[in-house]
Amino acid sequence: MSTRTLAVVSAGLSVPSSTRLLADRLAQASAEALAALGLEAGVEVVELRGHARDLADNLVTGFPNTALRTAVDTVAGADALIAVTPIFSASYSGLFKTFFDVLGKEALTGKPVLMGATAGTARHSLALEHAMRPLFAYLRAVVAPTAVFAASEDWAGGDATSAALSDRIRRAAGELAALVAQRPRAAVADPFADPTPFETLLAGL
Amino acid sequence: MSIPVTDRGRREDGAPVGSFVTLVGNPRAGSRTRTVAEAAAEAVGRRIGHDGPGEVVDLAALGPHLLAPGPSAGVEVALELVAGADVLVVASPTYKASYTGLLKAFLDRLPGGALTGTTALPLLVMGDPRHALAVELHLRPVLVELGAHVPTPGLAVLEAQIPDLDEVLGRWADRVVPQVAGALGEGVRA
Repeated sequence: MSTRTLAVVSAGLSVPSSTRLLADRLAQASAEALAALGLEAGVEVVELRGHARDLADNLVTGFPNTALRTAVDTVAGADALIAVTPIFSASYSGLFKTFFDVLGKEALTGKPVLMGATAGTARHSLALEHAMRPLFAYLRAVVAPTAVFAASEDWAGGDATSAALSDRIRRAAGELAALVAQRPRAAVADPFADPTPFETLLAGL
Repeated sequence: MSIPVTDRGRREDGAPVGSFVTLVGNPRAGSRTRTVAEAAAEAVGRRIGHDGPGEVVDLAALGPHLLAPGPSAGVEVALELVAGADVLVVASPTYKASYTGLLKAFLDRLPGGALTGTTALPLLVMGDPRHALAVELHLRPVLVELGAHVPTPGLAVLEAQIPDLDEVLGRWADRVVPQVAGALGEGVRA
């Protein structure tokens, strides 16, 4: 079975968070949808909460430290991205936006993306469409038509979800899997493929 | 145009109306965003007879404390200043066609409705005129959600316009100042 990598970016603030819970459900459903297409999924999760300080440093220095570099490379090198944020003041969270602020302009070009968001109220569902989708449009990602919003009332206790939310997760995951299946595997960055010439290294001394 | 706020421009205790606060959402210190934002606040302040420069909350100094969870004395002071402002200029550079994550991380720490009673003036500085609508599409709804009174229009300043800042700010200020003065007047009557 051919393998595809799903990067999952979660901007949840608490442990456990409903944001991470939704991200996990989307990843699981996407893996199942890929399996139905004969593709195996490897899931790599980036919890932005753990990179808050790294992101603040990056904003000032202009480059990511080692820990953040790993997270950025995970996202840039994945075959697809599942991005989930809590909604605050009718938009994505500041932590979520900061990660995409420091991400290279080309990192998501052509990459299939599944968007998810959580909030206390369904009133803010359209934040996915008016705030988050334009962000990924700017980055020239290929975003699945169905975005998944989970309000407090959608969680039926524990990690069980309402039938409506479960259906929506399944539909969105199916769309993402179809997008992944129709494009070639993401090229894996090989640090040894294009080494800096020794002369250039010497010249920099 | 200048609207002197005379009788209505005083609180019951006789103090001049309007604490003016400028919030700068650029992660780098000494940013052009800050220069433009302070000039914008001054253009509005001068037209409504507000004395003094007002306070500036520059998030460049608070970055690490804003993104990481947990309390920070500096952030608390900044949040109080912003929530207590009568007139608040909210300024950001344009990153990925919207306001910065840093600005949003600060606003995320305000409780719901924290800007009720505040007149907020959204401002984005940008290199590309094609992003001008981001002020109205992205920054305005956040301020509205926080309860602010948000006069129209918001202000998109192109980097290329910075040499002619006075003219750009003057045109904008003439349009928003009647709305700001009206909101301040209502605040005094309430």
